[in-house]
Amino acid sequence: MRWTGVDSDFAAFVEARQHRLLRSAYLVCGDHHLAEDLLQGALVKLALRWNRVREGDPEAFLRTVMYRDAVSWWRRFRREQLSDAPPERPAGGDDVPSRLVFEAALRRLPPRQRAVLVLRYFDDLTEARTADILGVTVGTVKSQASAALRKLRDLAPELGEMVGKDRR
Amino acid sequence: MTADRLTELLEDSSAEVAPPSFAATAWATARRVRRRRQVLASVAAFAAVVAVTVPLRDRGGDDIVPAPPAQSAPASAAPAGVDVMPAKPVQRALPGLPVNFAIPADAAKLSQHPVEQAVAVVQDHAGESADQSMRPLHVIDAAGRWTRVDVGDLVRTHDEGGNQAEPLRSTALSPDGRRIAVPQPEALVVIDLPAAKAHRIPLPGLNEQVMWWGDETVFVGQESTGVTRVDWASGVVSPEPAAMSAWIGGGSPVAAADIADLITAGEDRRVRVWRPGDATPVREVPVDFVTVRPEGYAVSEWYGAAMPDGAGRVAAAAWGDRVPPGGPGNYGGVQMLTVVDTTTGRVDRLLDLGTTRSKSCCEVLGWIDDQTLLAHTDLEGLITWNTRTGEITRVTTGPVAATVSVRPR
Repeated sequence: MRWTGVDSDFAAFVEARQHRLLRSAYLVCGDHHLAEDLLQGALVKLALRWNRVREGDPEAFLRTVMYRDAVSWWRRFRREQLSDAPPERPAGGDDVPSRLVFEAALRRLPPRQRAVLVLRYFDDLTEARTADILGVTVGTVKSQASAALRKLRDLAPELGEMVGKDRR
Repeated sequence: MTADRLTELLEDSSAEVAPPSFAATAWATARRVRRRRQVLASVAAFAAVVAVTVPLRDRGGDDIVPAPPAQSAPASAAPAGVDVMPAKPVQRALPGLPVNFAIPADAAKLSQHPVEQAVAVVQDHAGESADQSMRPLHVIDAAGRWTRVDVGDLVRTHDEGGNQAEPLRSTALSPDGRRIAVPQPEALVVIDLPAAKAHRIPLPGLNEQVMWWGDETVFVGQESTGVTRVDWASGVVSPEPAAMSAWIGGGSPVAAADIADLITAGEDRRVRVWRPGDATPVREVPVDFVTVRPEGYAVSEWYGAAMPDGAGRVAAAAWGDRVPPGGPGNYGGVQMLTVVDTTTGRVDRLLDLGTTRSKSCCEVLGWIDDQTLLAHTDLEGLITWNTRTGEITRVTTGPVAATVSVRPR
């Protein structure tokens, strides 16, 4: 046991996954502090239910709480639909790294679309697992992913075609 | 660019996120929450003994009528205090409200046909249609007539990030049904229906929320907490000391009444009661989902306006957990309506709406009488929920893809 009073399995589980999950949270909410709050909040919920969840799929529990909180927070404080106004471009003209252009475009997506992209292309989950975590249908995942990619292409045409064939 | 390229960009974009170390903090926080719950359990056990003796003596006992069993919640499936949305609720129209909210194309214009008193205000959503222009507001009067609001020059609201929202809020119609408060960038617009006139009151900021306090005062929310007080008739604007939130408060039909916020803060769920004009809350009590009914349920977050019943309770939509004893649980995916006692923090009644709905699917619109709520749900449209008997009826024949503000009593 590394920390006094902390369940060793819980500590090992968190140690192994927290960095990747924090990166996921950051991609979904676009803010370092909010990402940390999201992950910490989800970890507290996991710790409260550890005895019941540990034998099941604690990672799925954690992702579910975190992603749903992320979408919910965003909705609560950022509201319903995005402006059609073009995003502000990062300064730097033609030399702007693709990453910055991509990040600016990603932040313009509605929260659920962003969550779908991160779950599918960063967490590498199937459409069915993505649907489970977000509490939506597979059809919604497909349509949200399609809409997200279309929107990304509109917002950042210099990135080119984002996908050729969608993942299954 | 391929899916691999997208993955690469996501990897690059998050590469600078430093590794955290949260295990010890999370475990310690959870331990504190457990201890607090144990203390609450002891208090609740004592309170339960008091509760079964004192009220019976105080009220003489004879007027205590046990609530009949909920019609929509099989006793074997739902714990006490919980109702479950039936697959096919009984259809029953509500006097004054249409059974469908299809807005007639030939609705009269307000500027030519003033409306003495509205029952509801409706704004259609553009949805996925090709025409994304903002839809006008329409009112329904007591005779069921539709009137299009053609005054006010309304636009969509937006936040500092440019995210837009339709301007009608479910809290927009005044308690007397004679005015509509509409938040606008740099202004509050109050549409006086009997006068068929719009009052545009300059108000700095990206005003996004409104709630009425009586029929003359509107609290306007610019941020998540804090409001500005506006007397719509005089146009007087003043800062409000009470740090209420127009995002989660439902206002009050009575100007003298307190306003309750349902607070989600980390693992804490609280009721915070404000008296407008006073910078200090009247009281703040925890909402305990562990030791009191409804057994097995927990709110992750309330959303939408908390609507007061005028007798110390508020009702609001929420999402959260359902973990029945010994059965498989659902964490975070359950949509629900809750009725919370603002004095004790007790969840008096809960309507389980299931797990198949979209986020922020549902909204409490108001109280029809002392025990019956009117709510807007994504799948059914408008419903009533009798919070004493558990009876649920469907008011509309189908979903209502619009924002609706109703004054049902």
